Amino acid sequence: MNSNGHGPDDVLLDTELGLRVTPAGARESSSVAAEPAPSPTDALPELDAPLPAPVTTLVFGEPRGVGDKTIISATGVQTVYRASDGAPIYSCTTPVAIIEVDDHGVRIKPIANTRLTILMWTLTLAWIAYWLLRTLRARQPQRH
Amino acid sequence: MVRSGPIYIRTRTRVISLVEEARVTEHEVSGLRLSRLRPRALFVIDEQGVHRVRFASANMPKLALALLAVICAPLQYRLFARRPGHEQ
Repeated sequence: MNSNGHGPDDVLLDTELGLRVTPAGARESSSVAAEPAPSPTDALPELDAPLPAPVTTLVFGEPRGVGDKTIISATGVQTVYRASDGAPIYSCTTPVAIIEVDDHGVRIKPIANTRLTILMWTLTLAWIAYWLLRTLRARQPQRH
Repeated sequence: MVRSGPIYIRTRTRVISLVEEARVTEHEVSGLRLSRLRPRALFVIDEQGVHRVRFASANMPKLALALLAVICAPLQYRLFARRPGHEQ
């Protein structure tokens, strides 16, 4: 546990945005110890100016070699935190897409949000059913 | 808008460089700050040049279809309902 009372010790704070940054190596939350996959990336060249790497590492995962392909996950991150001291209150991540790299090129495979889709279609069908029933009732001859 | 440094990915036959682009939006409401980070695009640099590939939302076509259905649902009432004012 870190000094905030939650999270592992190796959680860092991105001073630029005040966000919690988990190092890429510590991002694995699987209970099964995973074999360290060989990294398909080379080392980055030396850069003159520091890039905002922590922010992009929150969104994009580490490249993982799977067979002949390299896969990178992309997620959306929403964080709510107190404006006064910057302490995070709530955070959630949503998978957005999978980036697939192989000999044929780079493909982005979007991930559909199933919960949102089910909610959306339930509300839509209820709305259609309401108007259908209203139309049927209006078509019935009125009894005097 | 933030971009990562180039990532070099070696496939069997070539090396592809990727630059990731993410969008950062922040809103502040009554002492709470909401920060949203979303992947926006990917720059692919290979022997054919530089391509910018956008992240298309998988939900957007379904949302558009549902919105169309929601808008068209009251039309059946207007077209088929027998309203008293319209009858002789």
